[in-house]
Amino acid sequence: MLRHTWTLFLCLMMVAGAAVTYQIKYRAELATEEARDMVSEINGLEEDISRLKAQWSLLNQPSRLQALVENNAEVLPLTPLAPHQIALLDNIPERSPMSLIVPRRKPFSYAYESNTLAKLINQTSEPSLSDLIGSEAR
Amino acid sequence: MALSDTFDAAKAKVSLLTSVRRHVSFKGTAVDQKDDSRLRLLMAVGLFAVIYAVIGLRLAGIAMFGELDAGNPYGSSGVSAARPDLLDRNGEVLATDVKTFSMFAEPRRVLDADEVVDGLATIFPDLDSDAIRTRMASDRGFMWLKREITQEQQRAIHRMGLAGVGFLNENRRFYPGHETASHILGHVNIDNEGIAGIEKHIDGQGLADLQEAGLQMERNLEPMRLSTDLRVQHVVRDELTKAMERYRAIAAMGIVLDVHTGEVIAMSSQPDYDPNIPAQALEKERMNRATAGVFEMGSIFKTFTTAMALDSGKVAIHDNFDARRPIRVSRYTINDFHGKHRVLSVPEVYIYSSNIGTAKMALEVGIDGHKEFLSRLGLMDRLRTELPESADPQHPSKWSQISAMTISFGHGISVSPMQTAVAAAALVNGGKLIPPTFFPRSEAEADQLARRVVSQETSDKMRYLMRLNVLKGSGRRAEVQGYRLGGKTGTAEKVVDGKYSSSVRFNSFLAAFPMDDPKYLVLVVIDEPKPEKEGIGATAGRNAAPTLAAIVKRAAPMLGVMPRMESDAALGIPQYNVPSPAR
Repeated sequence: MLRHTWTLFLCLMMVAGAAVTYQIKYRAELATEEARDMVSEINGLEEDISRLKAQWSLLNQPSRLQALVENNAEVLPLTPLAPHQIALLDNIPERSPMSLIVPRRKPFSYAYESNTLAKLINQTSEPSLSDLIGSEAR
Repeated sequence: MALSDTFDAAKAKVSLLTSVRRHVSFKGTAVDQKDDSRLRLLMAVGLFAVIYAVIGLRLAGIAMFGELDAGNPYGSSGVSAARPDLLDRNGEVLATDVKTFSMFAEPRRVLDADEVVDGLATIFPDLDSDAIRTRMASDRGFMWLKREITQEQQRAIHRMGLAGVGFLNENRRFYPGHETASHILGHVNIDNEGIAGIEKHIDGQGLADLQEAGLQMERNLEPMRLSTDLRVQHVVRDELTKAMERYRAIAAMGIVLDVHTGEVIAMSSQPDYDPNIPAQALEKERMNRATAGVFEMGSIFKTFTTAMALDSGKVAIHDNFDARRPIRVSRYTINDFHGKHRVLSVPEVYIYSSNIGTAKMALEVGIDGHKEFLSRLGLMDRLRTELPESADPQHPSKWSQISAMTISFGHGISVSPMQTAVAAAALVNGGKLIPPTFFPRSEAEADQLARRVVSQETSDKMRYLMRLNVLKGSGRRAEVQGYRLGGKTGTAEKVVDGKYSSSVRFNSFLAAFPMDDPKYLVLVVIDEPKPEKEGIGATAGRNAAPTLAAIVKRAAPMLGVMPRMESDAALGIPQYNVPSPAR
């Protein structure tokens, strides 16, 4: 009787052992699969990053930016920085209450000529917006 | 597969375990069994041991070497080697690897050719479907469908799951700046090996060995930072190309050097090439003239002669030189281009660029002293930088008095523009000759390598003379308000058919700024410029000087040089009041 119980116990142990082994194997396979996916995802993302960096660098090339500025000077008049435009905070004198601020150059005086503005206004389809700019220009 | 082995082995182990138990119990009940049952038992034990050993070894093997083969989900990796990214000093990408995919088909494995063709047509509408269908019908093992497709296209096709269609990927070197820094970066060949410029240099530094040994990683190659500033590099190139056009020159060169560290901030040689199209580099006129070309630099050499004369102690800044009459030595005559025909002081000799006065200064020092000084400045030997492109300077094997005199104003000796710039930097930075580099370097590191070539006092005097030349001399068109530029023009005559021609010129401008504390040295060379308009000259003051001024005006704010509007004396630019012997 005792021997039978013992055999039964061993059989159960065997089945249990097989089940556990199978579980471990299954989980390991799952984990392998997951790791494989992750590695490939990381590879893909890293490639994406490097590709986007190259693309960014291509778009951010000084030569390209310069061409863009030159070709769109009518809309956005950007010119290189001139030496007299650079100053330290210390160079700016204290504002005295008696002083009168006279701008050296009228803002927009050189590019936003009235005809350029008119052209811009004509391009916009929204009448309310053009009315608004128009009233300000007047 | 490893784990299923383990599993099978484990099962076997369990069943054996039970059978052995049975044997053991048999043995316990029937003690007087025959000997062969004992043998059977021994055999079982032996079998056991073998199985355990196999399991143990397998486990050890897995633990030690690992079996987790992630593989490449996008097809096998190509042959092209991976290279480190090259960045400029601010971290902008100058060169990088991009992965390109090439799509192929294995006709034998294609199940449905129509499905493949239709699927591809959705991504590549311009693909010749009929041609592919015919080729697919053949019994070939392999055919290219399309080379160099983008990753998006590759993924889209991958998702369709077309049988018999595969991808090969390879790294291709990409230079987003195209021509901008071509002569610094160099380029790579079809196998992604560097064959010029810094690309070749980094291969020489062990990358090639690493790749050969198969140790190189696909990723994780540390990017390499260069000393170049992409923005300044662009400015130099942009202004040089404009100058080439405006003066219809055949070539132009520009160098910007940090005088305290020897770092090359920018270097351009026009015409240049697009490193993405390496075949262009083979055209001879696109060579890197800045380091691999040698030229008679002309009057900018007077800067070296004057520094030599002042540093030797044989000439003082208050000395006068008689430039009334040309010097005649045997059949040669040395005359002045802008002759004043009077006695000149040292500063006047410099700012009027007097050949006669400079030649006399060189004679004061003597031939041996002259040779020694030029070799001290590194102008007699080949200058080695990280770039593989370099050239030997050319100078007479035997220096006669006449060669010493012509060399004093830059004829009869040919050096590379980079060499000239490096030597000149030593004259304005306080007298330290610092070997140039294309990689970042700190001032402390530079001081370790530096060699004193002239005294601080000589350097101060040179700063004064160079600044004076921009204020009052031939360099007036190089003045940029606020940046305290100082420099020397050079208008050299080129040798045409064995004779110096007065109409074919090699113009240069050598300058440093800001002169109160020089930080950067700029050299601009324009080869064979034509007059901008009929009737005006094509001297360096009219083309090289304004080109250099345009570069400084744009680049100085990028380099962080603060414009100052105070007078030179107030800024601390050395002043030597040398009376003119004219009156």
